[in-house]
Amino acid sequence: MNEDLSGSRLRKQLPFHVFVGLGILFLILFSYIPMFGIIIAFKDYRISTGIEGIFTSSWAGLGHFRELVDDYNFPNLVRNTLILSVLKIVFSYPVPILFAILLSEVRHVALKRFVQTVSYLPHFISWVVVTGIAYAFFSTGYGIFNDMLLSTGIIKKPIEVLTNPDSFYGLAVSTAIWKEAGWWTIIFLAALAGIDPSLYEAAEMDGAGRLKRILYITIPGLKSACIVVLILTIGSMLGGGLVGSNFEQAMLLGNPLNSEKSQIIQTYAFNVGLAQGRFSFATAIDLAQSVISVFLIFTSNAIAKRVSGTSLF
Amino acid sequence: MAKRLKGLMTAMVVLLLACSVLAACSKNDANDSNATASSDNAASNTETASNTSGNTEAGDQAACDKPVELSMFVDATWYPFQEWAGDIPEAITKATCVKPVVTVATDDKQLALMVASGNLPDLVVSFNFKLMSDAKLSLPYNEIFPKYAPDVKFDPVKEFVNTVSDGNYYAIRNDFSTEAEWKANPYAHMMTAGLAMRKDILDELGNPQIKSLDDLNKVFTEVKAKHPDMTPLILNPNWQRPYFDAQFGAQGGFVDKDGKLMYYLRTPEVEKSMLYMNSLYRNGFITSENYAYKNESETEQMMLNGKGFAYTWTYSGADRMNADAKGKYKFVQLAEPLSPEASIVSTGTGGLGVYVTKNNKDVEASVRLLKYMFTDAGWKLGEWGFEGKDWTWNDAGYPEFNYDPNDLEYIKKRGIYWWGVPWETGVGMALGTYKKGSETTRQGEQYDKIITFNPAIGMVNPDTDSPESIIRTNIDNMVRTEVTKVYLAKSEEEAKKAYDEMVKKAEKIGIDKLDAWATSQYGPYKEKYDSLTK
Repeated sequence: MNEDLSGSRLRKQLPFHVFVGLGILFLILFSYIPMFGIIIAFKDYRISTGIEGIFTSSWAGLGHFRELVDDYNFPNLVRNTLILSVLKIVFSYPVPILFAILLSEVRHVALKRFVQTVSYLPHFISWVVVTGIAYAFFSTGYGIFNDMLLSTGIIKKPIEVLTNPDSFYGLAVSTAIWKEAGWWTIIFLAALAGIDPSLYEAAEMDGAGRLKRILYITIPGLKSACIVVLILTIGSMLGGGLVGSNFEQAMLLGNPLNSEKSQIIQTYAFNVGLAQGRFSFATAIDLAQSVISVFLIFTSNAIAKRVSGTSLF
Repeated sequence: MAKRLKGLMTAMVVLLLACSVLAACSKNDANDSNATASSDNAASNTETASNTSGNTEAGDQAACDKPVELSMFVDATWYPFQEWAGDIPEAITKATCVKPVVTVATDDKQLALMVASGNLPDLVVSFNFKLMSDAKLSLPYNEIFPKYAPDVKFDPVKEFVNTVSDGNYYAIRNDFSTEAEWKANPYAHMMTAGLAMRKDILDELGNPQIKSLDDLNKVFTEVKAKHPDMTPLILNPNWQRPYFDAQFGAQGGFVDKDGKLMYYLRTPEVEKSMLYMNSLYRNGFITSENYAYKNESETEQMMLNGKGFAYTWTYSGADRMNADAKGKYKFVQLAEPLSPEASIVSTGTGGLGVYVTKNNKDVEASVRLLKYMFTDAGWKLGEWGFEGKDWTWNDAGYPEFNYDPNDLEYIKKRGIYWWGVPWETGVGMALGTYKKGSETTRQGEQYDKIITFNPAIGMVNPDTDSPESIIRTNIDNMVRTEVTKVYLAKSEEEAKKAYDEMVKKAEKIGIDKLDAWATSQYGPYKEKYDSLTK
């Protein structure tokens, strides 16, 4: 055993260890070492003091966290971040699963490929372009949507989608689903491909209809993938979960008219922290959010383990 | 397999060693060449340079075989020139024997990262006065000029407005001129906010006199009635309120009220201006969606597509849109102020500074370049081109160009304008835009009468991360969110209530503390400024 580890077995595996080593080195360099920078969340760091200043600047204790909590807009920021994140999980999580199941039932191969390609293409469009498209559709001045409804006489006054605070959540969630659902469908299609086709054949011979086959073979077959994706989604919930992009959406679709609903913690960190060169404050905000995310991922993992026996770790 | 891997690793180590040896060699070469170039030109700095006058001519300097190359970082992502190229930059290099090797920022945080990593170039051109005016990063002008160019004397007011709390000044920022300079140059009109209007529609309405805000409201009402598909007023997202602020005498930033400074939000003039903006919305002269636009090219395009009658921008708005409309529409400025209370206080202390960093490898050559560019001959060459060939000085006191200064392709090819900008004065910039009879000039002439100067206010600027800076940032952030509630209120009472709410929030954030701090800073600055100017 000992000989195996230190001797020929290790030598045999050396190329693989080198590959893994490079990956670990990458993580250490770009993920672990920069973590020391978190320390500036508890310090009064000034950028002009350089890297040295990370260690030499004076301690601020929890001052930056206190400032965040004391901000007049803090309850609003937390409310918007949580509502947007929860809405995205509730509405965006089931979409790729349902879409994957529907696609798997399409027998016409060319049509299936076409639909799949069209649905995941928006993933490659940047949020800036998506926002431009949203303006082209919903602007009260020149949007196709309003123009069409006005010209057909359905409405008398343009509908304010982009500037109405009440429509921001809906706009953000729907555009995020349009952009990302197709992409996440790929993961579930891959999971579907792993289901043994003989199960379907046997079920068909036993007289199971299409709905029964979906209910008793497809959905149970997707269970593991669904749980893993759900845990990851909950872990990144504050960033927008599966479909992500809370920050980009709030920055680009947000404007002074809907800011009541579109300002979230990340945009606040950017505007009040990074844009003003207050790196300590921005780090403190980000750290607070990361701690919440870590808590969420551990909790969801534990619940998943207890309920279904499947978990990430 | 292990043998092959060992061989591969050995090869990589050898390659890395070879690279580091080559890099070290090239660094030595560069140092050597700089040293040679510096000594070659050490005797050439014999001209006297001042910020307002100078007679250094391109080519006067001693001949140089190999110019000193200085790395120069331009901290402005939008900077139109990416390299030191064209016959104008070449002439500057010939005059100074210095060739800046330019890098333009690709994002706003690049300078901050360079500072943090200590990887600064020889020169930094930046608006970030607070960051760069730091002895840890830059060399003070008041030390390097006496050492390398003792004959250079800057205007004491300019030295003063650039001096920071450690008693040093690390740049003489551009776009600033003293009140005396403005008064000595009647053809230099300071840039102000403006309102451009469609001339064809004014003609259609019989060119009504617009002497007050009431007159303006009447014109908007008529436009709305005769052109229901047109928005009477479109606001440029970057210039939403300044034009109307000027009509009420409202100022931004800190405002002097009987010798005390107060942050603009609680001044009665600002309240009036905000409530007037609300009346514009309630009367249907502006759309609510206008406040959602973020890009000024989008709103300009709306004007050029005939969707709006009037447009807030700068005093050059009409001229710029006339150029962009290519004859489709004609625009005119509303040249005259609209009320007896109209006033503007110029509190600016300058914009871009050229900072000589602590990492600078040839301070002497850097000072030589700065000295030349701070002379009239230097910045005029950089900004306007060759005198006699590209422009001539009108006896009245302004330049007349032999090319179109708005032709970006031409000025890019020659390298005209943008390499003069970091050293230009406020007056110099304004003279460059003077054109007899233009809409810009028409408004400039009228608005000069209502401008007063107080750069001491502009000097009151809290340090980043100081409690006062945090208060100000939080107030600004709050106003950005809340002010649209005032603008878009359904009635005047609601607008007033929204304004009062905003003030209450500012008080909760700490506006009183900010005002007290600003007043404590202001006194000494004002006293010193007055002593220098009286």
